[in-house]
Amino acid sequence: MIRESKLIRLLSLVFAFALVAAACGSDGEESSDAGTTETTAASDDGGTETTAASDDGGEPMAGGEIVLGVEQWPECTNPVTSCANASWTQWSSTTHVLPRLMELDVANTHVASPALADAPTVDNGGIAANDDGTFTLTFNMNPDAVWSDGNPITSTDVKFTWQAKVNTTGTLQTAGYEKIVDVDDSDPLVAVITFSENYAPWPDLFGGTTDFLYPAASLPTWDPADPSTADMADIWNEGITISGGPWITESWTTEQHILVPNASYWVEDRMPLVDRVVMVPREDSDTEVASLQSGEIFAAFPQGFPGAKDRLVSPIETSVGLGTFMEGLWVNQLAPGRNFEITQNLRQAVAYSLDRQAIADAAIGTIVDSPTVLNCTGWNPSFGDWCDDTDYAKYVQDQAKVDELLTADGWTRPDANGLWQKDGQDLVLQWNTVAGNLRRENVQAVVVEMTRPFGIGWEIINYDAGELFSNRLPTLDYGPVALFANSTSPDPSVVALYDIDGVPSEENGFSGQNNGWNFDQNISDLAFAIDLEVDPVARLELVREAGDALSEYVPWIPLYLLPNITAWRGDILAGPVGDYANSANGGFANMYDWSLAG
Amino acid sequence: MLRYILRRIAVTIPILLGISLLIFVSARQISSPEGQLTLNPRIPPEAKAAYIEALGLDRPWYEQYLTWLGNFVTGDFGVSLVKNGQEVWPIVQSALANTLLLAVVSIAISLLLGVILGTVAAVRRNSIFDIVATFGAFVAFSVPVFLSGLLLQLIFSVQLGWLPTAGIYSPGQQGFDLVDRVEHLVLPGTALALQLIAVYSRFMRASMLEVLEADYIRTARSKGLSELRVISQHGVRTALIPVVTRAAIDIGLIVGGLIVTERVFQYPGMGLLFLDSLFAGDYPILLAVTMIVVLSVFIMNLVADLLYAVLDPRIRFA
Amino acid sequence: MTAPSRGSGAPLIDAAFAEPPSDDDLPSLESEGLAEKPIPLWKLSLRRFLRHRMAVISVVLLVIIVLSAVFAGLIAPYGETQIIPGRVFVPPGADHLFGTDSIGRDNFSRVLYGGRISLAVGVSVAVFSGIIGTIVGIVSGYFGGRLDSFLMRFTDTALSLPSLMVIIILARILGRSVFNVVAVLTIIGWMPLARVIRGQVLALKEREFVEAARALGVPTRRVLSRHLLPNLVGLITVDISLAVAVAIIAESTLSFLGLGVDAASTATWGNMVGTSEGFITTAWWLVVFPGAAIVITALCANYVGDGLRDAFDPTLKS
Repeated sequence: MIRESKLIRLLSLVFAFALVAAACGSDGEESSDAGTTETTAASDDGGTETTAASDDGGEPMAGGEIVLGVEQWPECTNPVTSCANASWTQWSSTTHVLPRLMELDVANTHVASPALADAPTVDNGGIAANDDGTFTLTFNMNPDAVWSDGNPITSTDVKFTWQAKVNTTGTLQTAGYEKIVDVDDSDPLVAVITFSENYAPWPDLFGGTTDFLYPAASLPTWDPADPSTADMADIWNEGITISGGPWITESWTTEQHILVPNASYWVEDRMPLVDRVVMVPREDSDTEVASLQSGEIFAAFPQGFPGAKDRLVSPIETSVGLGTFMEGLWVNQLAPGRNFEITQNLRQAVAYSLDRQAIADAAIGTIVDSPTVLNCTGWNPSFGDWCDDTDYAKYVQDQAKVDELLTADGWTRPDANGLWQKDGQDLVLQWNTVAGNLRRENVQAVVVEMTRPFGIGWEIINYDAGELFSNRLPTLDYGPVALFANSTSPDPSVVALYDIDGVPSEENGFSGQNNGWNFDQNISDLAFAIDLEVDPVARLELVREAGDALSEYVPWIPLYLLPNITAWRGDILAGPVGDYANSANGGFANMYDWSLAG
Repeated sequence: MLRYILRRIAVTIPILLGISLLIFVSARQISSPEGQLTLNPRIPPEAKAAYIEALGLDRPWYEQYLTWLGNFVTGDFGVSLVKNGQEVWPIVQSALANTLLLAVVSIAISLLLGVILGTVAAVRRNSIFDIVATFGAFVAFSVPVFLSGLLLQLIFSVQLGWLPTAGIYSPGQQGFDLVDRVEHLVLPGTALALQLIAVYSRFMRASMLEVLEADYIRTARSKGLSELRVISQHGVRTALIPVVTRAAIDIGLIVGGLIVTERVFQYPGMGLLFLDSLFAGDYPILLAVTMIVVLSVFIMNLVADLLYAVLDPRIRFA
Repeated sequence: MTAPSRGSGAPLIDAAFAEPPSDDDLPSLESEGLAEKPIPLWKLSLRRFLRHRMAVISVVLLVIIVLSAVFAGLIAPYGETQIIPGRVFVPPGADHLFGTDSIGRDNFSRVLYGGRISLAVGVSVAVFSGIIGTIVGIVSGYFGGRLDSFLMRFTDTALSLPSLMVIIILARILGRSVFNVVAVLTIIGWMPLARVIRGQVLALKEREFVEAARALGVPTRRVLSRHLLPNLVGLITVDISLAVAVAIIAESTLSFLGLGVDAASTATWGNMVGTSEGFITTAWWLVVFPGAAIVITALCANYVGDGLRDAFDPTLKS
């Protein structure tokens, strides 16, 4: 019996020791914190803000293995089907292994990728609006570009990609590809693509923000004469086996993804420095941070989480991007739970009742140093000049405006401290967001307090992400108000969002992404016009016009951009690790330039 | 014995059918594959319709249920909805193996420690040891697992750097490596064991107290056997029976019960798979996971009953 | 052979300990000498309860906790949802006893207000489960027959499943609100008690005083209320007290998994910890204070339950 008590005593000793050691550990961290001087530098082009401890990481050293944490492990890696719907499929896999025609540079501008000899322009005859109404793009392929199996990357691959995009079972993206009438691949180095009408967002086809080129050889059964044979649904679900990028997948499982340099890659300055990259899932942000702190993973690309500023500290370095996701209050005018019409006056009144700076502070104030209010509706102000970030600037808290708008709409406020009322109904809006998401719940808490003096009340009902995004949004069974983030693309195409015929309904099988945000014909027409206008100057004018119309119509209320963070161990990794924090290709996009600190 | 087993199985079948129906209805209620499709704006309606037909989602629910049941019984677990046509069974199989390993190791260690603690506590009832052990057990009952897991992670991974925070293998590890595998078992195993030790020690203590009052123990004592012998040879053996059978039942329960632990340590087992498929709306996986959990519960309950009979000579099955 | 430790004392979480107690697992009232009653039963029980030092301390602590939650409006320096501009992540100090959170709300005030909901959830679940369990148990045990076998088969099955899995599925179906959390936990919670009560009723039915009453033609209602219920009071109070602990922990676990009460509109201890666990290294007060509230309350409830068990069931203590 004595032995057992000894064992217990021993165990408790060990435990006590552990506790003490833990306490000391945290002390040590603090003191080392105080010792380093931190420099904050904002780089203009990438829109990233880098906070890096003094650069004493040492000389970079070639070779070795780096370990990265992936916040959302792809369900599968197929680049054509719904698997490609998750940003992380692209960020952790596709971007590193597949080539594109046009690609995004670090500032998210479309440029010719290494697979092309040059970018098509009107001047070089690459872009042509034809008299018969058709539209032709001519891409000159780079003769050096090869797949990892040694075959050249040719116009036939472009043709195959087009057919695969349209014909793959469960294909994710056919918009644009459906307008293609033919791809002429008679010259392997020249791809001539003919569209049925003008298509301005063409840089996002076969490349750009989300798309890639696929090798025709990946489907031996493909018959160019029979497009239905270009069905890629059954390949590459567990790792893309070929490469036309800097890396090639050595193995992919649900537990890790191993990438090694692609020896056939033809681009000298993008040859990977390290021998191996291992990506592992870290789907819980707390576990992700813990793994960074313990050094099990060397870098991660988390979505901004509350407290990030305090939690990601030396030896962890961070680079914070303005963000590629716009978060705001999306208004569902057809909400089943509405007790009154969600009129334009009401939407404007809500916008006038909000102190959006205070909301941005509460939401991302613990992530970035100076939170900025988003004043654009469809366009990310850090991507090009499509939005001058003034559209919504007029919406600041204004009691008189709220009174005026609501009174004109038939609302009364019998009790000056109470809620507005109409036909016996209180002005209470049901509001949904993702449950357990502290940032969003913080916004709700702040707004509820904020709008009380304005007589606008909220009923908060939050759902888990699957329920909200898979079940409720697509069927317009939410709101009237929902808080979430929508991704932005560098190209200003917003047809999907504001197409008046794209409102999900029983009749169209709930297809369409205009999830109740726009019912204005003028805005819908403008959105389509933006896609047809291939002249950038004229296009910009249309975009600006649409921006003004949207700010009057208030289909949704933009709040802020969701910051992206590249976080890495400054003592382990060297190189330009944080440069792509604001990239639509994800923070790991340039990992070919990363190396281990010596 | 064989007749007893067969009868138990026969009785269990209608119950399992009922549960499977409930699970099916619930799973379809909380996941909407149609919704997943509509989330994607670019899938043309025709393609969507074809997909829905291929999955049989347009047929009445009872037809869907019967089809699924038929497939399940014949070992065809279907394909995942969101993992683009991957077979469900290999996914569930590896999760099941991971969870079983964690459960068995953890239960074995907890059983050993729990029995020792419980026995000592019972023999020295109301001693300081008993009071502290009781307090410890009550604290273990009173701390939510996500908190204790988090603290373990914080202390042993982040601060001390002794053990990995998450997963089952170190990044880059390919193939089996015993040391690495064990290292990744320690923290989730401890989080689970803290609770199990508390349960088993309380169980053992109570069981032991009762045994110590029994006549044959008094007889043994009166025969002049040493206290140590009385306890170890007569007491512990009998008192163990309910604890061991209880542990057998736990194996079945834990297959589906490690949800929080697996979530905290990102341990790719049944609990994590359950959560992931629940939130992703992947009902083929959700159905397979829940049904396998239910089956394992019933199997381990049966095992526990048989174990009881084997261990306790007073029980015979008619 | 009996399984002496009642399962409902264990938390519902993770390993799903809520095992169905066997029917013969009963506080025996034989030794009480109910017929003579030289000292009133409640006085004996009270005396025994007061001898359980930890239980008494726990009662005092619980009273303090409950009172501070009830009078949160008077004690709390700030409102539950009040945001104090510019006071983000203020550490505990004179201005803010428990510090402030990520948007500048007073943590002390929120712990007080959050206690209202957490305690209300805990107590409601325990009481509703107690009521339903008692009614079902009595009906099942006293009237027997098909209803009895159906109910027992049903609870037997339901209790053999991992409860957290069942709770998660139910919570996902019902949605998130205080009411739904109570409903979900009650749906699971009543069953263990029902089984114990049934067993006890079966035993009491055979006792002389009940048989005599029935033979004399005393109306059923009177038999139930005058002869059965008083003998079940001990059992029920023990169960309710332990169930409070289980429910408070289950509520926090649901919050951790994002299936609990909405943190945006209503603070509970559970969702306060569940949403701020990540701050443990940078703003520990957001985790430690509500976390401690959960652990202390659950611990006290467990000890009170233990004390009550001793008070009503002296067989395990001399």
